[in-house]
Amino acid sequence: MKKYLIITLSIVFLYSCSEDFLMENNPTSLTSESVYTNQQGLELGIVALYSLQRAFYEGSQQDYAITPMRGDDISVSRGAHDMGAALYNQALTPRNGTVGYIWGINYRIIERANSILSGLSKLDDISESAKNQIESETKVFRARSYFILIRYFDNIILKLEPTEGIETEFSPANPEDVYQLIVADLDFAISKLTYQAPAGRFTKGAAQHLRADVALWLKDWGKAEQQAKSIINEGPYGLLDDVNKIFEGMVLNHKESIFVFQFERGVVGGGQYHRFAQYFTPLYNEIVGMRISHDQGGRSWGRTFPNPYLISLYQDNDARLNAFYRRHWTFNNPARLPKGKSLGDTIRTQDVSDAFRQLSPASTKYWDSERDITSAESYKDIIHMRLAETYFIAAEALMRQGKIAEALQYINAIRKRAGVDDLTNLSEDILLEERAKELAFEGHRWFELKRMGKLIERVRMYGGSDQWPQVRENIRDFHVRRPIPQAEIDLMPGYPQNEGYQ
Amino acid sequence: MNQTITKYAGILALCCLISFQSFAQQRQIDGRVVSDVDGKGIPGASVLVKGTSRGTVADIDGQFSLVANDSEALVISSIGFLSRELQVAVLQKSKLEIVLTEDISALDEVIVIGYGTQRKSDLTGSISSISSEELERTPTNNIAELLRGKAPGVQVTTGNARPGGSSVIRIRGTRSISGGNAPLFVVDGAPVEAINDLNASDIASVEVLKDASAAAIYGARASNGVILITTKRGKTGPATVSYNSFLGVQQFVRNFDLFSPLEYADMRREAFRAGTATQKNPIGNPPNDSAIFGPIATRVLESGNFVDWEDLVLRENPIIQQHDLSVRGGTEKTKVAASASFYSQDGIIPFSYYERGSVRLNLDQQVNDKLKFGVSSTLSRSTERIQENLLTVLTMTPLAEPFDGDGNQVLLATDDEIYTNPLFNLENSDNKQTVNRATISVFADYQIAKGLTYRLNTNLNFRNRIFNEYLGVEHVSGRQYGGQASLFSNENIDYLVENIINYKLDLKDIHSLNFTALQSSWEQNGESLSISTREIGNDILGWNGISNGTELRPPSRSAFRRTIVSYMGRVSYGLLDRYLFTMTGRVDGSSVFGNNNKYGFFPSAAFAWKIKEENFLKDVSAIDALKLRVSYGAIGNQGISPYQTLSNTSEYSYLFGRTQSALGYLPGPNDLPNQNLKWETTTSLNTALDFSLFKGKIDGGVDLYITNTTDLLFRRRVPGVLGFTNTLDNLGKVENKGVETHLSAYLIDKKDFSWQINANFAANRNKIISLYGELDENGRELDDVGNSLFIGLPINVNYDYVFDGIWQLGEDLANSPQPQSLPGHIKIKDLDGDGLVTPEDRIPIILDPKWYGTFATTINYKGFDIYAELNTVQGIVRRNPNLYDYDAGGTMDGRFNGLKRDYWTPENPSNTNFRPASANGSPYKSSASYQDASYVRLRTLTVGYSLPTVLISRIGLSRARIYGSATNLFTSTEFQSYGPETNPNSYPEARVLTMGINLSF
Repeated sequence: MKKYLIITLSIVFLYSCSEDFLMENNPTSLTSESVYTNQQGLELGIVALYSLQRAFYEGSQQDYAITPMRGDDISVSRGAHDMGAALYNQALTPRNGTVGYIWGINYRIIERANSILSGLSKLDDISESAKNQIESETKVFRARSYFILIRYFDNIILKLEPTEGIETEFSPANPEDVYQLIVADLDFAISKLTYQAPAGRFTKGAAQHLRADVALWLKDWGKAEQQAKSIINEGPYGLLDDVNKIFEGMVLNHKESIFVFQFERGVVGGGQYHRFAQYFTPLYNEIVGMRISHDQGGRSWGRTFPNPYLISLYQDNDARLNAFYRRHWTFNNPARLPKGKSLGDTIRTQDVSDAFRQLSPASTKYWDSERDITSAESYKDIIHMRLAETYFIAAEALMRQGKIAEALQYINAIRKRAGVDDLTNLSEDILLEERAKELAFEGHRWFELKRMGKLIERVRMYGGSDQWPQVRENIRDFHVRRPIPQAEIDLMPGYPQNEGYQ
Repeated sequence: MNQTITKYAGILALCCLISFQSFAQQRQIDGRVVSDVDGKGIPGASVLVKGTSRGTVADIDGQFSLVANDSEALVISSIGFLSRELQVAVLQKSKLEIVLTEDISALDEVIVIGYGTQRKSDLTGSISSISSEELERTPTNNIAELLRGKAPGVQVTTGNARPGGSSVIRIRGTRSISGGNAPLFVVDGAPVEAINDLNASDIASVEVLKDASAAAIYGARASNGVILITTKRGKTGPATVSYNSFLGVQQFVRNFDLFSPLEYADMRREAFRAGTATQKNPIGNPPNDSAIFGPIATRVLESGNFVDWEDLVLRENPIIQQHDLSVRGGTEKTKVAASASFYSQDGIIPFSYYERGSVRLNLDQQVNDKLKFGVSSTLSRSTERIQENLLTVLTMTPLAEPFDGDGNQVLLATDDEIYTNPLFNLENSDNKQTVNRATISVFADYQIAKGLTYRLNTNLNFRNRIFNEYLGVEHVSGRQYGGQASLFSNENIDYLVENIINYKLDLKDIHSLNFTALQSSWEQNGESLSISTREIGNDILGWNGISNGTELRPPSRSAFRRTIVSYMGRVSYGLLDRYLFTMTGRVDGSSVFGNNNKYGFFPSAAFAWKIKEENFLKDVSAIDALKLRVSYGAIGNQGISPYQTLSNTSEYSYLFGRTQSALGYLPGPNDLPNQNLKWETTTSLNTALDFSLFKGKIDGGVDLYITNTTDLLFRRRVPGVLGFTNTLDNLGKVENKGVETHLSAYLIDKKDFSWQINANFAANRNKIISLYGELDENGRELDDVGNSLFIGLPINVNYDYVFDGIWQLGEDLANSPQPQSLPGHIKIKDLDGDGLVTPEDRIPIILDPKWYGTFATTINYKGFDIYAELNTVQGIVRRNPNLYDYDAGGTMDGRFNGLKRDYWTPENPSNTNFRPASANGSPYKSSASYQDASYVRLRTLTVGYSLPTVLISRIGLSRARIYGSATNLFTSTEFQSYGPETNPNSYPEARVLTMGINLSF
């Protein structure tokens, strides 16, 4: 009996089970080893970084993406959804979702960039030019993300190595060290990149533009001037003659563009939609007598509008008034016309139930006439850097060095295109006004106000509108930086919160 | 040599038998079979001459007559009685009365325990057994719903109430945060992922393994309990053919009112007035109706032709039907059970349906004295259309014109251009899901020696799912893409090979030993492909027109393989049939864990004491059985997806230079790989008392348990600076403790009249003991607020603000904790008293029920049977989307209709419902939406009538029963929805009225 038992048990348990049976190998996914350990993998990684960077604007992260366009002196935002960044109200806490998103996506880009650079440093069989290309592009990503983080948060972590495992102890870096890294990364890229690259990729011009902007923050006026002029004089860029063409159509890779986030519907790599097309247009379609139409802005959400101060800066004959804004709506729905109105009649305040929501001026820079009439999804390119801004960087760098006349050449070039007369003198305030008129709603305003130390002063003076003055009333000195996300502090015990947000 | 002798001996014996028989004397036997309980005849009792096919059936008075030899023996049997065997020679010649003893030893029924069976009286672990008779009481084909209320500690809640949808089963609470909480299903010895495709009529019994001792044999997959399903097999005897069928209608139920059209119009007016309110002008200026109502609404308000969307859209009395035909029978050597079944259900929401056909063949073949093999096989195919967007339908404004003058549906039924006509969307989209499944198990039993058997158990489980979807060019989403066609297909194959050794030893009634050893390998392979195109241009071909789409979406493919290797040993030892010990150990290796942690060991031990067998109780006749059980053990959870310990990449593509589509890959996006990931382990202590009293008239038990789950598989957050947001980790500890009781009693137990009641009750308390182990300055462990996990509280909580009424006109809002609020907004308790409402003013709100239970009663009177079952869940809290959700109309912004409430207006200062507002509406709406979702429900009421045997036997039937049944006939709850367990945005639970028949011959 025992014999049987032993023999049978032996057969059963000797049924050999090789360790391979339990090993895993994911057939449909690459692993980090396949990305970080060879040239082809690293190049795939860089493509992915472009996609990851664009993701900030994609999908339904609506409030995250427009955060750079809010809470400044030239916009007015409506009370709905996450209004922390727009109104500095009780929603702007360390638990604010936008704050956490900005922190997270940029550190994600930085970690992947660090991993690519680390992988690259261990690679032997790669040509010098390929190595330089990979290293340069990666460093622009890293520099750009650090530049965003330091400007929003001031007290950030400097991490230069790939993540190997869970760490929870971190402390804020000296901002000078952060800028030193940004400068070094960009200077390297500028020395290796060329101006020629397919649209959507970082070029020497993009790196220089960033570098010039960084130089302004470091008050390195000479460097800013040098880089900006290099872009203007040596780069393949030029101002478009007609301001109406800058944001016309869906593809914005024209000669004025230095760096553009590429979107194209239905094409691999064309990205997920963004929702900019309806953020800056009032809810005109709620008006009795109106319906959604492309010529009046398509579907809208009416989150943030140009404020009366911004509109007041333009002379009546400024071509940008009509190129960048729509200020009037006209009855367009024959089925719903109120009594006594005809199609095409301009709608007046007294015709609507809520003029602010329904009749505020719209910024048309992101209008998209190709999306479906009910769709909130747009595939129009988003311009991130364009030559007009480079002109302003050059002008400011010159102005700060006392070279007013030369600075005015750049300012007046922009004004001339808009059909308005030359300026003859220049000051910080005039510069800010000129920048506002050209670059409003392109995501720079909050940063430049902060850089010049004018954020609090100008938001108190001009922010919102007389009817919607909350932003003026709410803003406090500590609002010059964002809170460190509470979720991050929870995960990194001991990491200090920014002043005012405790 | 031995064999030869045996053979000759056999032939010799056969010859003797034949010759002996020919000399034997034949005689006529007339008699009556009676019951020991009341002395009445037992109709239908079977009287067989042993070893032959000769026999008869007793008539309605229990009378029978047949011819037999003195040398033969009779076997007399009847369901519910112990069989008797009597030698013909000793039978008295006249007035023969054969008394059958009622079988009260329900305790001695045989229970499936996994890798074997056991007498119920010998169980040491916590196992609830549910017979097919109990399952048949609720006419549904949803297996989870069949289990609802049938066993204490098994909580079934509505998951998805759509036709073909499934319900959620939790055994003894929630343990895992990220590792899943679904029990393991084992059908005929093979683990399966889903039981939806199983035909309920094929089930012979369901056993639920609840404690660690019982479940430990399934080791690493048993942490959430195990549900063993055994299908019916053939048995020796004449074939029985059964036909069961039911036909039912479903009804939509809601326990709240919507605003009537005129009330809705008033609410919208108020919302628009509130939209103009400011702190300086808190009442607001009422705009003219012309600014509030568009031309459609204005026309409808004038004409009074309001739309009742519910009436218009929902199907009236959609049909459920089931037909099930089975044959069971066999000889001593070959036994067969075969069945074919068809089930179909139309849903309350138009176009939704589910259909399933299945066939089963179970075969047992005795090859020789030592070798036996068996097959269990089933094939099924189901098709369904999934249509769940009820939500936008019922809350659409009633001020609408869904049809034009000619009665055609129009795209824009309301003034709101964003929300298209729901009828239009239903008709301009289509989908179909087809699932084909084949499950084939083959096993062989070989008796190696006396008491020693070997079993080879193999299983192949194949599942293929195809999902086709089309969104038409007019559909609200489809129109954005010019029509979208999508095809998805997925194929999963599981293999199981098990070697099982069983050794049984009985030593003179003092020692009994049962030893089981198992080696098992399981592998699952899955792959899927999904493609879709857009810009189809027209709807003619639906999804079949996918190749006409000019815009190709990137196809998506996935494939995976996961494996488990296991070794298990179990020893059961009984001393004097009084002290029972069971020890189990299982080693599992699973592919999904890190290379250093593939294997886990799960031991358990159990002890049972049959107190009744002790001398001091032996003579107490009131007690039939009394048993104390204690068990302790560990079981595991490996419920994570494959490849999570690998550093996987995600695809990120980009477009360069407008024409160069480039694929890119980077690790993540979110999860940092953890190569040290290992098993989640649940240890559990179970103490129980089982009893049976008064000859089985009362039967019951109490179980107390406490389980601790450690090394929780938990997708924890990591600092964003690491470039990842989460990582799967093993950490923390969760406790569940609870009590379960069940009691059944025969209040009346006579031949023609019986009344039985069953009750069960369970309460479970869930508590997080530890998470990350990080302490605050007071030494108290920190909560994970971001994931709403709090030390000392259950896993299921909502972290929310505390509703404290409504701000009224005249209150000093500017200096309140909510300086931005307006009168009519929700007032929130400033819990931390810092003078402002901040996220710190939220508290965890416990959602788990305090207890749940079932009370059922069965009455049999002559041919009639009545079954009624009340289910209750008490102390459960749910957040009601009808009170806060935008699409459900909960926000009262005037755009949608919704649950009728007595809302705040300047003229009606309600302190419970916020003011409707088209803009500047109240924040914190969710805080006012928590409702007590406790309920008492008459889940099943069935009345049946079985035609008398004498009547139907004339037409060759052995059973003919007709019945009517109602499911969810009556529900008492304060939760305002379409059912106490469903949300307004999910498929509504229906009331079902059914008629059915059971026929057998």
